Parts: sequence; C-alpha cells; structure tokens
Amino acid sequence: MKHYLWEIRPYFHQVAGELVIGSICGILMNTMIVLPAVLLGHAIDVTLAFDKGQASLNDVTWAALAFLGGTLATQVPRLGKRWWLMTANARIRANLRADAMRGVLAWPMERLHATSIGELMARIVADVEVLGVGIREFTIEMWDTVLYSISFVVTMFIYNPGLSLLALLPVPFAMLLAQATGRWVRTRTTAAREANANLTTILQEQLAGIRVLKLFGRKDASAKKVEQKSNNLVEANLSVVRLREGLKPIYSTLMVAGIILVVAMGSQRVIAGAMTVGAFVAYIQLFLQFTGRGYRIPQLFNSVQSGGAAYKRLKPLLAPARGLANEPHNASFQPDRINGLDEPLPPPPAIEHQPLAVSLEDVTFRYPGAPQLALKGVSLDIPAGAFVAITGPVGCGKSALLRAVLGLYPLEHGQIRIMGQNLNEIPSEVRTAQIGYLPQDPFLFSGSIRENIAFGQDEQNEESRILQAVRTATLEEVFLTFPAGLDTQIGELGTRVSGGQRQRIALARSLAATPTIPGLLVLDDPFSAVDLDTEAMLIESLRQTYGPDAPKGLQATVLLSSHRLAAFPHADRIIVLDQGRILESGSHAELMDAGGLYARIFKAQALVSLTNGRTGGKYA
Amino acid sequence: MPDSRGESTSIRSTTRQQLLVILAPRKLRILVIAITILTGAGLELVPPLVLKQIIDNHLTLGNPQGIWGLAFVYLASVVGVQSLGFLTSYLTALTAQGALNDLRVRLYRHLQHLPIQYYDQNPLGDIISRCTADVDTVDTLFSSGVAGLVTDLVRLVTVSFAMIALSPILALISALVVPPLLWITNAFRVRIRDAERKNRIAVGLLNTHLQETFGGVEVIRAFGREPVIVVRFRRVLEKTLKAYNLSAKFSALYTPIMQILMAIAITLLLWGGAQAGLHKVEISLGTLTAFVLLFKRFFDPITSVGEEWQTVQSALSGAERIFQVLDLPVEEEAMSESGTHIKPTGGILVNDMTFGYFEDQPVLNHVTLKVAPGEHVALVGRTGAGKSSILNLLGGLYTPWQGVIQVAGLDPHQIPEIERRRFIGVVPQAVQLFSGSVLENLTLGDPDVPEEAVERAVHIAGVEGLIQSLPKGYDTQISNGAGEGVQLSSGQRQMLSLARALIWDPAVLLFDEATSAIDSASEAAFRQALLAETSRHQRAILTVAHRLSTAREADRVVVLENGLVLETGTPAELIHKGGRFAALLELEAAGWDWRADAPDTVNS
Repeated sequence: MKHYLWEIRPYFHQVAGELVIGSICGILMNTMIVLPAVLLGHAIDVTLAFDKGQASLNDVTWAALAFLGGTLATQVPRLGKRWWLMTANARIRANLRADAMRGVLAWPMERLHATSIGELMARIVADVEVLGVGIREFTIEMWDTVLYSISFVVTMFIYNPGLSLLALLPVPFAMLLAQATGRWVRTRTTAAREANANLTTILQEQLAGIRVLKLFGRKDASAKKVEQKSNNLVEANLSVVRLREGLKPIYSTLMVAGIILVVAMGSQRVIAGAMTVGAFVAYIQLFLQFTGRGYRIPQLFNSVQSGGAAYKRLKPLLAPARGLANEPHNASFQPDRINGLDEPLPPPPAIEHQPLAVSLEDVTFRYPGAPQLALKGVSLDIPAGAFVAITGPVGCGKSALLRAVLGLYPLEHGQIRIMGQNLNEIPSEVRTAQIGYLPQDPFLFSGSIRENIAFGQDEQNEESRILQAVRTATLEEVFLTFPAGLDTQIGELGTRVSGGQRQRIALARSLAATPTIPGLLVLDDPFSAVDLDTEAMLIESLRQTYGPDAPKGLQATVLLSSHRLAAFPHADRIIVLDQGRILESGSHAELMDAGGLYARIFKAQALVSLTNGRTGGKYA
Repeated sequence: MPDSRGESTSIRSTTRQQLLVILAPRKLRILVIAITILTGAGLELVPPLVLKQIIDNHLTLGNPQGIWGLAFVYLASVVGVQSLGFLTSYLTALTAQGALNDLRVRLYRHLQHLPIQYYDQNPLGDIISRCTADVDTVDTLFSSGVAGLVTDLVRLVTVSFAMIALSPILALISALVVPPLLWITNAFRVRIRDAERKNRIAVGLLNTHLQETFGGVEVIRAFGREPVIVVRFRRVLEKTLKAYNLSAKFSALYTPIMQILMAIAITLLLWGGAQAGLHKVEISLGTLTAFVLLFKRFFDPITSVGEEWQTVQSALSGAERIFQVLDLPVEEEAMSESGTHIKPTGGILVNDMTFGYFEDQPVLNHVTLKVAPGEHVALVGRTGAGKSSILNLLGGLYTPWQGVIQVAGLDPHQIPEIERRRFIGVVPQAVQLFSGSVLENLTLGDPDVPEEAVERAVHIAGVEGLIQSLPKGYDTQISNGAGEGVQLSSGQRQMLSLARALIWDPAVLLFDEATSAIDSASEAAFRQALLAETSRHQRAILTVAHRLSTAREADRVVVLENGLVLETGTPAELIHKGGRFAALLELEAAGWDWRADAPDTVNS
C-alpha cells in the first residue's frame, strides 16, 4: 500500500503556496537557530576584550546588536513558519472534511442506512484531527526536530569535534530509552483510559438505575461498586505518573551526562588558550539546547505513522479531491480559503408543472439489511391529481410504499412508473425537482424557518411560494407569535418549536422546496403530532390548494399515510395495507359498506376519540 | 448586573473553601510537596552560579584546579532538579488523585440521596458529566493548575533574589523589561482566550452541523439537495477555519515576540554592562554571563503564570458545578427502626389521589384504586395517561399532592428504604440490569439473601431453564450493551427482573409491562408465572398493561385517560359494555397503534 502522505497529495497541492513559504521559513529558522548562542558567546568575548581595553565601545555595540540580529533571524522566520504551516494544516483538515461530506452524501441510501451517525462523526471529526497531527509532524516537526538537531550537532563539531564526539556519546542510548519509555507509558495510559471508561460505564448504569436501587434499597452496595472502580482508576493513573516521571530523570540524565566533559574539558581548553570564554559559554548553550530536545527524534516517526491508521478509516468517506479548477489563481496562498467555496450550483432542470400519475407494478421491496420484505407484490394505479390515503397496522408497509415511490432505495422486484416512465430511468434531478416529501420524522435543520421551508431554493425568487406554503400548512397565526416570524431561528440555539409545529413546517417545506411546483406530494404520517381539529383544517387546505378544483398550475397528486382515519373520508381513494400486501382498496363509502378491517378500525377510533376526556395539562 | 457578579464571587470563594476542606487531611503531604518545589527552584540556580565560578576563578585566572569538581556539581544539580521534579509530580498526583477519589465517592453518595425529582429535572447526561468530566477538571486544577502556578511563582521569586544578589545594577536594568513584558503577556492572554472561545464555538457548530446533516440525509436526498448542503457545509468550515486562524495568529506571534523581547533585554544588559565599564562597577565577566543565563530562566515562568491562572479559573467553574450538587438538600428517609418488625400485610389502596410532576400540571386527578391481596388488576391507557406515575407513587419514589396511598398497610414513604423490598416488588418497564453476574443482578449485591430464596424466586419466575442454559449459570456475566458477557433478550431480561422482585417475597407486586413485544414463548411463561403467584401467595398484583391481551387475563381492569379513571370492571364486563376498553381491544387486535395516539393539544 502506498504511504498515506502520498495518497493525500491533492490536499497538499490545494495549499501548496502556503506549504512552500512555510517550509522556506522553517528551513531558515532551523539553520539560523544556532546564531543566538554563537553570537552571545562572541558578544561576551568582545565585552571581555573591551574591559581589557582591547576593543572599542563601538565593537561592543555591534556585537550586542549582532546578537539581537541573530535572534531576529531565527524568530522572524519562526513566526512565518508557524503561521503558514499551521493554517495550511487547518485548511487541509477542512478540505478533507468537505470532501468527506460530499462523499457520504453521494453514498447509496442503503449504505447510509447501515452506517451510524456516530461513526460518521467520529471519522469526520476525530480521525481528521489525528490525520492533521500526522501531517503536522511531517510538515512542521520535520524541520523543527531533524534540521534543528543537524544544525546544533554540526555547529558543535565545528567548535570542537573531539569534545562533541565524547559529550554526545550517551545521546543515542538516551534516545532509545526515551522511545521505550514512550511505548511503556502508552501501554499504561491505555490501561488508565480503560479504567476511566469502566468508571464512566459503572456511573452511567448506576445513575440510570437509581430508581431500581432506591426501590430495592441497595444504594450502599452500589456506592461500594463505584468506590472500587474509582480506586482502580486512581491506581492506574498513578502507575502512569510513576513510570513516566520515574524514567524521565534517567534518560534526561543520560542525555545531559556529557555536560561534565563539556564543562571540565572545555574549561581546560580555555585555560590552555585553545578556546575563548565566549566560545565556551556558547558551546554549553548549544549542548543544552540540543539535549533538551533531541530525545524527541525517534518519537517523531511514530506520530507521522499514527496518521496512516486514521486515513485508512477516513478514506471510504472521501469523494475524489477537487482540483484547482474554478479556484482563484492565488487560492493556494490564501490562509482561509476552503476549496470549492464558490463552486456554482447546478441549475434546476426546466420542467413543466403537471400532476403526476404513479403506477406500481408488482412491487417487492425490502429495507436494506432487513430480514423480511416490507412490500410483497404490490400493484397500484394512481391517476394524476388523485388524493390517495394509505393506512394499515403497525409495520404493514405504509412508509415503505411511500419511500419506494420516492425512488431512494432499489426495488427487489417489479417497477414503479411515473407518467408512464420507469422511475429508475428518470434522472434524479428531474425526479426530485417535482416530488414534495414529508418524512415520518419531520426533520428540520438549524437556521431560520424561511431557510427550512425554501431548503436551498432562492428565497427571494420563491417568496410567494413560501408564503403560499405557509398558508396551506396553516402556520400563519403560529408565526405571528414567533419573535421574528418566518425569520425566527430554530434548532439548537433558536426558538423551540413543538412537535405539531415542526410537522407543519416540514409540510410547508414539502410544498415549497422543489424547483418546480410539485406534481406529487408524498406525505408520510403528516398529522401524527397535531390534534383532530388541526388535522381537518390541514386536509381541507391541502385539497383546496392542490386538489382537482385548484387552478391547473397547482394541481398535484397527493399520497399520504396515517394510522388515524378521521381524515380519510376526504380521500379519493383509500388503500389498506397488511403485511406488505394490499388488503382493501376503494373509497371511504365503499370500504365502510364492505365492513372489513377499515370499517372496524374507523368505528373503534371514532369511539375512542368520542370518550376522549381532555382535562389534564401537558404530561412530562 | 453587579448583583449577579457579587453572587458569583461569593460562590467562588465558598468553592475555594470547600476545595481546601478536601485537601485538609493531606496537609503533611502538601508540606512535603512545598519543600520539594522550593528545593528544586533553589537547585535550578546552581548551574549559572557554577559557570560564574568557573569563569571568574578559573578561566580568567588560568587556574585548572578543581574544575572537575565544579563540573560534577553542575551535572549533579541538573540531575537533582530532574529528580525533584519527579518527586513533585508524583506527590502532587498522589495527593490530587486521593482527593479526587474522595470527592467523587462523596458526590456519588450525595446524588444517591437526592430526591428522585432531581433525576426527572436534570438530563442523565448532565448528572453523569458532573461525576466524570467535572471531577476531571478538578484534577486539572490540582495537578497542573495550582501546582504549576505555585512552582512558577516560587521560581520567579528565587530567580529574582539570585539576580538581585548577583548584581543589583544589572537587576535594575533588567527590571525595565518587566512592565512591557507583563503588558504584552496580558494583552495576548486576553486575545488568545477570546480567540479560543470563538474557536470552540465554531467547532461546536461544526459538530451540530454534521449531526443534523446526517440525521436529515433522507430529506436531503429526497429533494436532491446534496450540492446545496455541501456548499452550506463549506461555509461552516470556512467559519471554523477563520476562527482557528485567529487563534493560530496569536499563538504564532506569542513565542517569537517573547524571544525577541528577551533578546532585546540581553542586548541591553551586555551593552549597558560594558558601557558602565565592568571593572568600575565591580561586575565580573562571570557575573555578567551568569546573569544573562539567569535572566532566561526568569522569562519562562512569567510567561506561563498567566496561562496557569486561566486554567485555575476555568477549573474552578467545574468545581462549582460539583459543589452545587453537594449543596442540594438530601431526601429525608424513614428510619429503619419504625418498620423492622412490621409484618407486611394487605394489598394496595389509592384513595382520591392527585399528583403531578410540575406545579399546576396534575398528571393524576382524584384517582381511586384498590387491589386486594390475591387480586390481579391491570392498568390500561394511552401514553401519558398516568399509568407509570401510579407505580412510581406506590413504589415511594414520589409523594402525592393530595389523597391517601397505602401499600401492604403502610404509606410507602414510611417504609424505610432498606425494608422496602420486603413490602413491594417492582418490575419496571425498562428492565434495568447492571453489569455483573446473574446472581449479583438478582440479589442486587445483597450478601444476606439465602440461597433458597433465590432458587424459590427463580423457580416461580420460571427462569431456571434460562439460568441453566447460560455458560456459567448464576455466575455468568451479563452484558449491558457493549462489553463482554452474555446478551439477553428483552424477554429474558424481564423474567430475570421478575425473579429479582420475588426474592424478598413482597406482599405487593408492581409490574410495568415492556412496550416492545417480547418473544411469545417467554411471554406465555411469564404470564403463567404471574398468575400462579397471585393465587398461591395472596399477593396483590398491579400491572401496567401495554398489551391488552395481558389485561384480559387480569381480575379487573382500570382504564385511565389523561389522569382520570375512565372505566373499571372485569375484562368481560368492560368488553360487554363496549366502551373505551372494547374499542382499544379492537384496535390492538387489528395490529393498530393505539398507545402513542395522544397528540399534544397545547402547542399544535
């Protein structure tokens, strides 16, 4: 397998400008890094000379300024390196996330169905973060650790090869020990993390079971359990600290052990006149700076590798990376540029509005991964502009039938035709442009109500359709009570909307969010959260706006499912499903006359709502 | 807002006092830590001073005598600093972990004794995070925040002393940098903090966005809105990126600027020192060198002190959340003496009882209900009718607003908690099993339960076969979702839960049926056991029936709707009458969903 850093090269390419400038800064900084120590030594020598009358004050001034210049020569590129490489890294992460989103949205529905949201989030949030660390180690730490060490070691050898060789002799051993320590500490850290997870688990289940514990009077036993897990965690944490802090003095002593030679032999050389005092001080500084950091070198490669595992998990999500097409010419230099930000949206297909006829021919359907069939050989003809209501017992296939008509999932057998054309052969943008859908769970997005109803349509162009949809969903009065009317924000940070309001906003969306006025409305249990009066009102207004008596340019076929039958007498046709098959079919009057399941349920429900004594308030 | 600020300050100060109380028993250890910190800070001064010695007494005089000794001292002090650092970290961890352990256990015990309303009003996730995440912030407070702060402050003081002692004039020159240093540090700290806050908000936004996009993926696909959503996501990413870049800007600037500032100071020192004429002000070259090196050590703590102070502040707010809980009053519990020798007799009596979870919102209205010993009564009603509330009240988890409620002849509240299981056996709807062995789950960790009692209960509940079929019988570990152990079906879990309730041979059995269908074999066995129990032991049984077939087998049925008793009578009577119960039966027989059919009339 290719190295992951090679595989993600399009993402490096997208930010190449920043990477190049940042790396030049990195190289500059890490070659200049020895200057402050060296020039400080020189300044000390000049000061000594001045004190002895062998140099002018001017010389001292220049030496001091040289030291300042040396510091600037390292710190200014450092600043640039940090800025450009850090932002480049953040951009790579953002672009990866955007491509992951693009990739996942293009997955077939059955694959989305089989993957949990938690897992997708973990990939896009946590794994991209880990990958970012790997990339950082590669782009930043490479310069900072490798080049840094080379600069120091080379400079030390220039000062004095023999002494450097002796003093640095224990360094490789210290590095090995440091690396081993890192490994051992990781094992124990994993154990500590497990102990922590165990404690959290036990706290979770004991707190969730507090009622049982109270009912059975077993609180003390539970507290002892928690105490034991808590003690385990303490022990695990301490064992990490013991190992890490216990071995650190050992390898860092090994690392700096050479200082004894540096000090003693260096001094003798100064006394012998082979070295200046300033060089001696500079050398000590170089040695300490190098040994303070050099032990990290072996760890560097581990961190780069850890990104590989994260990439492997992320890869199945990624859409092919976008190139630099349509990007401004200097995009790779802009620190806050997201790739593809100005990508134009595909224009909506030009379609004439018309009510759509739907026909199902021997349709057999199964939810992805489900053991049993949801629809078994259903055949059904729905003329254009009809109002069809579907009902049946729990799990009879109501939602499955509606979903099959949407064309999101593949059929196991049979076919669905819309206006005589096979659903599979209709391009998805044409299909989605004229079908309005209200799912059973009326899912809304954070943002304003207007944004939710328009759902990505141009809000200005569609203003009249949005207002029409709001009227049809009988939401006008509701929005009067909202702080900003249609522009009220909903979702996590916004106003709370009740289940019934949510359902009606989703209904308005199904009416207004298609590029063309919908020719088919698919409404899955649209009234489950509203009371009977509101339900009657909604049905009435739907019929008025989209029914056969509505203006030609608005008429739509309506397909709705519900387990509540109060509104069904208004339907042109009623379908009763049972175990994936059509059990009864006809108008309300016909089915009531037939006296089958529909008639029984209709009567029973009428009785239940009749005796419905509403006195209490809202329940917790 | 001056008032609220004053209040929060006082909360802060009590939080600090409470933290000190936790640390009080560990005084001696803290003293030892203080000594190691102080010694370590002292030892850190040695290397520059050794260097001064070498330069002044050996290098400039050309005297090689004693050089090796000094070199050894140099190394020894470096090693000493490292080792003391280990000691400090280890002792701090030891102290912090011990204190945290105490705090965590105390917090958990306190939570256990809070009234059950606390659990109704606070999301479980929040309660758990107080025991975990918030306790962890206190860990940060002790082990990195306070310890780091103290170490740095001590270092600052010792280095300052050494600098002044070495050369008051040079110390004066370097003091010039301190005001701009503090000003810059502070300015940066404020900006970095703001930038990081914005960054955190942006990351939160990103998470929310991902969550809702994937949650709504079907709608997105049904409307073919993928391109719009991708662009929307790119905008969110851009926002996140901008927020990140802001904090990247400050952190990119901070260290280089500090280094440059330090270089300016050192340049000043060298130049000023030379200008004054070293020998005139009696500053030796060694002193100058040592001073420059010390000055570098002076810089680090001053730049990190601010950051540590910030850590301490934010950790304190975590600690506050813990002490808020510890300040809540615990529930009064009946004392054990009053009930110890009472023999549980009698059934269930509820008379004209009214109750609700929130003021002015009664869930039960003047409910009257009786279950005689040996009788099986089924409660029937749609979601929100108040069925489970009746069970909770009978179990003594709540107190009614008004009316009488008795279980086995006693007000459930007067039964001491540890006695309760002899009076009332509860089989809750969501069967709560704990990770652990089957036996531990049956006895709930009570070692005093005799073996016969367990076997008898297991026999009645009809789970002998199940337990025998498990790999290790009673010692089989039960898995709670994730982790190792045996996964039980919901039917098996409910059977075990019934056995658990029967172990203490209670006079009254409260049974909340599972809403999800359990496999028909276990369901039949279960009903069998339940029926046998009633007649044989004169137990009073109250069942919340989510499946009406269960209710049909009861002696009597009580139909609840919106907190009111709508119908009551034998199943046959009610079916004959053709009212609500009969209608619900009809719906259930057809497989219709009748339970969740209670739309919210208030907000829709």
